[in-house]
Amino acid sequence: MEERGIQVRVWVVAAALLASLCGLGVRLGYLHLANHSKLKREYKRELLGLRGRIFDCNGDQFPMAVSLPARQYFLDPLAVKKTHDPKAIAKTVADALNLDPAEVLAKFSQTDSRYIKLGVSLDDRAFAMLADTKTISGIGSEELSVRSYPQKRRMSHVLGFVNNMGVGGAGIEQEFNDYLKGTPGLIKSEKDAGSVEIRNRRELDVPAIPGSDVYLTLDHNIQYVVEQEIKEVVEKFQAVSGWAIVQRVKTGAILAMASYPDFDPANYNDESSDVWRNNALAIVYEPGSIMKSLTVASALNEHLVTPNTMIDAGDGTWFYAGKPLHDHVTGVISVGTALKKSSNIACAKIGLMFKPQRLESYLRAFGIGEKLGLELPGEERGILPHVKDWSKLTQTRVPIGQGVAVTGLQMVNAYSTLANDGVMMKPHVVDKIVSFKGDVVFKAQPKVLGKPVSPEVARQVREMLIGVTEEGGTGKRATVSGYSVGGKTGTAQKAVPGGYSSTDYYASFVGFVPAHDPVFCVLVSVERPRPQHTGGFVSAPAFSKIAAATARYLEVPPDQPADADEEADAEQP
Amino acid sequence: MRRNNKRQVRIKFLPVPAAGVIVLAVSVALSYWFMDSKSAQLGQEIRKYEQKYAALENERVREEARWNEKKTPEKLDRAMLQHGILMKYPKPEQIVRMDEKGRPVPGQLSLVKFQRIRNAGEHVAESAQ
Repeated sequence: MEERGIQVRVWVVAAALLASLCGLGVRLGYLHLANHSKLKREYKRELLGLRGRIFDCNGDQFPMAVSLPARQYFLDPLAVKKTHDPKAIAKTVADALNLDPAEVLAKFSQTDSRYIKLGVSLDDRAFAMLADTKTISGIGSEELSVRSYPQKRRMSHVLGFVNNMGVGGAGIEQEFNDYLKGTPGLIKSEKDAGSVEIRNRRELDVPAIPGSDVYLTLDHNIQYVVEQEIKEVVEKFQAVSGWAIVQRVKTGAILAMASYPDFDPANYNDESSDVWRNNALAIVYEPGSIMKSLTVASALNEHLVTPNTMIDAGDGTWFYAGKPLHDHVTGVISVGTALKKSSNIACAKIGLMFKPQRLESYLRAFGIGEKLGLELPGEERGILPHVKDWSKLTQTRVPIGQGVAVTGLQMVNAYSTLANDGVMMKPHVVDKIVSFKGDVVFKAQPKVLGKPVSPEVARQVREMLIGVTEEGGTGKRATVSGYSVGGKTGTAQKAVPGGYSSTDYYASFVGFVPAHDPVFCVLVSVERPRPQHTGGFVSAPAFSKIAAATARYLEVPPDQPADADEEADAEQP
Repeated sequence: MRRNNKRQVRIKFLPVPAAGVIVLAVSVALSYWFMDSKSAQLGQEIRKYEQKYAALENERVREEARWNEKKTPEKLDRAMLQHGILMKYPKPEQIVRMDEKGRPVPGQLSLVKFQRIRNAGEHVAESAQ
């Protein structure tokens, strides 16, 4: 009887143990295999796809724009634990994010919002400081990228900016947004009770794809010089604005493009939207006398004149279609002298030698009144009225740069055409685009847009334009020690409703170096300089400085003896 | 009558096959539990390394940006100015350009020669005054 009792008890215990084991097994299997409460355990994290970088022509060593990983910190006042001291939290936050502790503390009382932005930090140490859950609560963070421009305002009008949504809002950032933007990655997994990912339960791991890198044709060293000079000339002459472009004549590549006033792309909202505009291609203005070279080149190409053809400039006033045209040059002068001294009457008379349609087609062939297709937003086409809208007077005014409006880019490209033996190249600012894997997805190739004049005519005009920078020419301040310079001054009255301003001018100089075998072309334009307002006085000196620095930087061999002044200057310690 | 207290009581409460199944099930469950723990542990380590790698990569990107900010032309200019260093381009006559075969590019030397003659002439003229 006793044995039987023991046996029964053992069986009962064994059955109970087995039942418990089975229960645990079923529960274990259920927890592991069943699909319940998946939403509660689901862990999702988006990975930052950093935006591509923008480099200048020197390659990876000089990024002009980069995206940096950062964290946006925010406060949820309702999530602050009662056991934690808001003052202490505010102090830690202020220390970590370089904020004012009082300002941070004030945000703790804004209980109407559960997402109050505190600040952005690039430093991981801030994250470590604010992630201490023993003393800190109510502070959250999320990953984001911050667009950084290491050279601050350099190339601001070319680079543009990225808006708060991470989308390019101007310049290269806007035009190449689809290439630059990165693709975010995604991690799907499960999380534990502490909301930490259980790494071995990761179901999906799609890595982020960084955006492609854009390499510009611009050189930050030349850009530095150009920006300094344009700023100096605008400030010196109390001008409204100024812009300058340096272009390689053989390829059409833009080496520098600057406008002043400029802005900091990282803080673009500090300036008005007018300042964001790239004046070099968005301001349309009457070019004035810099148009005369195109008129003369067209006339030479049409065999209407030769460089030695004599034209009567009269006594300084010429009436045509009932309107007077004034000139500071008088008497009978050659076509070469007309350019050198910038005679209005002589050039207007050359314009009259054309059939109007022919003159218009020449100017269009030089790119006037047409977009050149630069890879930047905001390029204007300028204004060149169709010949059917021309009055009798128009044919005498367009040749001297009145009644026609251009962009700086059009003028520098037209002069580059003359410098490049009459071959017009497409201007471009992007050299190549490289994917994050290193594949070249785009490579710019020099593209010929047209051949408005013959090489011989281009050479003849270049020779004439050298005279402009020589003694007696209007652009003698544009000379560059050691180099021959060909170019043209332009002083245009600003168009105002009903006519022209008598006080406001555009002062320009555009030219190429070395004049006999040009390597690059430079345009400098200044809006409303005062008190001096002529292109020869205002813009030519800036051209000279830019051209001198560019020629030496590009190691262009000198083709002239250096000036004695320059040598003496170089001797100084 | 004496009781035999040392007598062993043999109780046969579980058949051997059933016990084997239970032992096997428990072994499988324990193995599963052990491997799952090990896997979780390795997962945590991987996660930590991933985080460390991401942090280091972020720091590298930021450090590069800091370096790039330091070598901008105006900062170099300022630094040189602080140390009293004035850099200028060499005079044209101090530069001799070579072609691919290592010979001076035509025109370079004649230009320098012309310049020297001109300078010498000016020097003579100054001395004569």
